[in-house]
Amino acid sequence: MSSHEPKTTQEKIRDIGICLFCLFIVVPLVSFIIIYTTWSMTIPDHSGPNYSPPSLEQSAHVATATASPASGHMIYMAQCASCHGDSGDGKGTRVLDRPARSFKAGGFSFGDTQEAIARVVRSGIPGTPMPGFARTLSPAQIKAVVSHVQSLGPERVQVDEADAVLTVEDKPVVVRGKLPEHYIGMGEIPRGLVAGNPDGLSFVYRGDDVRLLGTRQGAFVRRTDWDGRGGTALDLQGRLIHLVPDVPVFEHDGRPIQAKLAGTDVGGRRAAIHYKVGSTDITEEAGAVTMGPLAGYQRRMQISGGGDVLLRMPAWRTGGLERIGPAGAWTWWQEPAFDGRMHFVGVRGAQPLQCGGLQLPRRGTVEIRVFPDSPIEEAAKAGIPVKQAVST
Amino acid sequence: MIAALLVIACSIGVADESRYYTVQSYTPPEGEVLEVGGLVFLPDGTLAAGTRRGRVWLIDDPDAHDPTVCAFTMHAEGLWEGLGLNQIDGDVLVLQRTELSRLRDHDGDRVAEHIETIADDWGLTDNYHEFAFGLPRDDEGNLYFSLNLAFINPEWWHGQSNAPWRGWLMRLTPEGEVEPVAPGFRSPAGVGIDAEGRVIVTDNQGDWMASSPIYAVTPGAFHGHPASLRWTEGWPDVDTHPENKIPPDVRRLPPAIWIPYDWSRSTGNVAVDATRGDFGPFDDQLFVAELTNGMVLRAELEDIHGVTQGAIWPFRRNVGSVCRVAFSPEGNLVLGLTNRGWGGLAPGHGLRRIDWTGETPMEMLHCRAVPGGFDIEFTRPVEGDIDVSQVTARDYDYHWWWEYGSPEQRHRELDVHAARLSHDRKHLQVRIDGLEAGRVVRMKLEGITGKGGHELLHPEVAYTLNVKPGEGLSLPVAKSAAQPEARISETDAGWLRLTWGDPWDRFVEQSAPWRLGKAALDPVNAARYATTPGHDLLINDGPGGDDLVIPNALMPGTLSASVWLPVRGSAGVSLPGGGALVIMDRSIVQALDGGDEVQVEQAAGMLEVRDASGTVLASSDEQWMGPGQWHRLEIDLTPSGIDAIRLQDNTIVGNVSLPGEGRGDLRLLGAHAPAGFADVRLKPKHPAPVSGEPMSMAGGVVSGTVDVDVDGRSVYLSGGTGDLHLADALGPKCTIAFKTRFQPMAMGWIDLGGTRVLLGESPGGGPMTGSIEGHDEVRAGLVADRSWAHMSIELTPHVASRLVTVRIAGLPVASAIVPADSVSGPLRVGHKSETGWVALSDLSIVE
Repeated sequence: MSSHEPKTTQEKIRDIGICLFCLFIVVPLVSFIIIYTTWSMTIPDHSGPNYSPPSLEQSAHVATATASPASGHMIYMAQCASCHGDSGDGKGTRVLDRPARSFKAGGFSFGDTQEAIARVVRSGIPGTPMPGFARTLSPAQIKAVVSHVQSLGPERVQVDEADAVLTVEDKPVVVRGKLPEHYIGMGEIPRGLVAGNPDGLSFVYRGDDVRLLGTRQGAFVRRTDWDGRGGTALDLQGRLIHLVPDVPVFEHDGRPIQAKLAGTDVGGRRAAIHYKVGSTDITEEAGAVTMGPLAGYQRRMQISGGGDVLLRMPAWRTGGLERIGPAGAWTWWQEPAFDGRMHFVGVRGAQPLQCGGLQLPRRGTVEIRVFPDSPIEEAAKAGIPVKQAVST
Repeated sequence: MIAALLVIACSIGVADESRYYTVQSYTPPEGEVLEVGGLVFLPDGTLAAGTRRGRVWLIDDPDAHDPTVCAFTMHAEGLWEGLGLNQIDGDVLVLQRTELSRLRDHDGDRVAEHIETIADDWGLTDNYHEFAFGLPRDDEGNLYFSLNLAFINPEWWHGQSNAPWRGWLMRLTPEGEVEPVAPGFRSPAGVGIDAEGRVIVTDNQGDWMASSPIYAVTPGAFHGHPASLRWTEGWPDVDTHPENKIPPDVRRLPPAIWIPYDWSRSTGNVAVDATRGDFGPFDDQLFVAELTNGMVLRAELEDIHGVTQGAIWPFRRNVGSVCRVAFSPEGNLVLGLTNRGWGGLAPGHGLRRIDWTGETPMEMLHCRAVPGGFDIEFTRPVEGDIDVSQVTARDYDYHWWWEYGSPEQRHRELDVHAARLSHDRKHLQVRIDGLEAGRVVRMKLEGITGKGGHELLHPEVAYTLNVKPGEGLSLPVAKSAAQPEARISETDAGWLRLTWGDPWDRFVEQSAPWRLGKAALDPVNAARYATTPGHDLLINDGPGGDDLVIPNALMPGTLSASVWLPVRGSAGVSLPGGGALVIMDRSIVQALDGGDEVQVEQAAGMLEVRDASGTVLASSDEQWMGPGQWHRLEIDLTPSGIDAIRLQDNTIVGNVSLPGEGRGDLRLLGAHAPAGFADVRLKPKHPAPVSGEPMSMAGGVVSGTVDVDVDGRSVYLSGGTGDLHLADALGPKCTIAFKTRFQPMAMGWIDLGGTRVLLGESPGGGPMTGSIEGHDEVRAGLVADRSWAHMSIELTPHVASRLVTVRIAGLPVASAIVPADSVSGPLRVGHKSETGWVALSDLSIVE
């Protein structure tokens, strides 16, 4: 079988498969995340769209069938050995003005991952005698020959999956890394922080403006960037229980102002995030909290050296927050969630303003509590460690 | 025990090196994959190692005789990489991808619970390749770090700067401000400060980086990769991809050292030997980490006429994928290894140490440029005499272009005419004829032994000669080059390459004194060419001579050519209506030795558009970079004249009226000498002047073993030999119009009933598209492989015969008079090749 452009039916099928995959898996999955942003304790984790596109499986099957080591070796001998040598030592029979790569030594200009080598095989290296094979070899054949090329070199570092899964045990852990897409269409977030506490909650912050993006419960983080050249996003493993709407958080003199990260601390019971808003220094700790029948989380902000800083409660911007009145030192609101249910949001220590903000004190402590619309029994059923939570 | 084994293991591979320098390994905690990205020694002697897995380890007593017993303590985790380390008051400073942080251990348990963000004022996108490297401190307390470019498909090795300061060297001032220092970097994995206080940056071979360079950074200067220029003041906002072209009006600082490709392909950082003899005799020299080849190199810089340049040698091979080097308090060289995703010699991770055994190897201690050659100093007195034949030298330079790396260009074997040993037998004067600035000189010393019977351990040195001592002219080793072939064939569909393949094909009317060669400026007299055999350039080094004519090649569309001139050279191109475009070098020169020696003082040039009478209609002196530089010229022709003329992608002349309806012969003017052209090409505005209703390709009868695939209005033929029947009969006067493309080595044809018009290549691999087989051959490589080209075959009755005219994109390329019955049908498309394919699309027959 020759492989030229029109003979890419498999590719087309695969592309269609990917489209279907996006349509039936990714979109519902993302919607799923968005819809169940609340602490929805009744929703079993494993439920979700149940679809397996047959064309995707079919194309994967084809790829596996042709990518046997034997065929990789045969393709290598036919296409590569004349320059790179039968054994991959870079000493082929063809005379080149730049020596061909020795695979034995393990050096690869563009990296030694399957993807990186496949790209070189597909596209070649312009300015060198290395041609591209995109039109002479099928994707499955390229995969096979890349595996063979890798097998010629020294053993590669394999990431132990268990190593890359980070857990929080008796001490908090803060992880820096790229965040996966958080709001649909907004793309990945290059600078991210995830603070995990022993109480099972983790808090996801954007690094650029130290904005809390969401609160998660359960497993912590898996690093995907310990493979290949790195630079890939963290795999946030916990369940999203509260997605914070994407609006500017702080204002100063009536204008949005970005907080700047000043550091993180894991010396205490909970992870602390230090940041500056203008001349105001804030240290924020967040963790689980219960109050009567409610389970939720609390952010405690210690403020010093303050100026006139306003904290926007995100939902106020959209006008959706309904004040249900003060109770003791607390002021309470209802915040409508994406699924139509209501979170309870309480604030203590800051002055609520008519314009939809909290006037932060120049010095002191502000606490914000968020309780999703669920009774504590459900929290317990869902495995939320209510015993470790702070009670009022 | 393990250490002893390792020493033995190393000694098997490189017995000579290990006699002087041993390599041992530290033992990380069980299961820990130590992918080292940064090293620093703390005031108490503890070694801190940052890893790509975002951990910082403290290693106690790193100079212990047996490094396998050194204790490791995890100081911090959860960071995003750590490709540069330093310390302040005993606290580790770590450069993460996202921020520069200080690790504070408040409670003294050696675990830094507080990660203080010191700086994060630089841009970062979601691209995987935006590493940050560092982190040396200068005497004023500035911390230096570099920001990698993004690599994005489809030209994924081609760096882009998509957020501020990517591709820049940066610094954090003692006041806490992050400042950009200099642009022009690609993947600058090593940042250091040398003994003279120079800021050193190493970069990695790739686009715009011919090989791996070592820079002595000049703040504010441009260092070679254009992507980062978009963040320079005054750069146009709309020009977001400066990496695609040679930047205008930007002076380029050449690297102090180009490391030969066979020595370094992924350069890491540098460490200065300030051990005062504890590591051997190499005081103040640079030790350079090299990942791919798994070795450490040694380098030495010197300033000549204000230009930094220097020598480099291999130092210790087979040490593993070393990315980081640092000298320990006791003067040992600690190596940090990693190769994940980058590829490099095993071992690919871990921490090692090179110790000096105390025995001084016979090495070239220094290699310094002097007028007429080099002075080499050895570490030991030479035993016996040195004959001049024991010293050989060659030199070369590179292309500066956006392709991945550059093969060495313009190789010369140099004539070593003297090699004199000093009285103390430690200094060797090497004198070489014809040395030129802007080249890398490789010298090899053979059969040399030092006192005590020590053979010269590393007999080869590479010296980057940016400037010759005694002469102020500095030239870059990597020279601006015409676009390489690979880019053009893949991306420039629609172009007719008029001087490709065989430019002396009869398609071009050959005229003396035009010839083909490789060109360089004569090193003595920049007004002359130094030419060698090659295929780089169409050269007319006249004087006088005829024009090189490409018939009918002026037509509405874009005409493009690379132009290369010596001092005072000029090149001309004909324009419709008898006009001409002339480019002249007008550089200010310095004439020495009665005019025999001519050197450029200031580059200048002029472009003029003249009408048939010689009257200048428009002119410009912009964008000329000087003699010996490639300039890309583009002319947009319209039926009423010239729409625009661009030099280096910048419009320098617009809107000039000319008679002639935008058509005529293209002449490269021979009277204006000396001149050089390369890659003259044409993109017609109307490539398909004739077309009718496309025929269906489905259902045609296939003969032979060829595979036929129909895809809409296109048909692909591959594998085997055979043809596809398209039509039964052809009228006496008709035009067959279609699009075609082919893979290299593919042979295809259109058969008109006996007469064949060829598509693709000849059996020997040369271009043949447009040829009328047996009658009129076109070997000019007009059409880039894989890109669609419009063709037409026109049949005209001529007595009892037929005149066949073949056009590609409207340009007539071949014609023949053939018997009528050989072109009256049936019409078939055929193919013969085991591996390639030929495609035909949008076929129509217009009566």
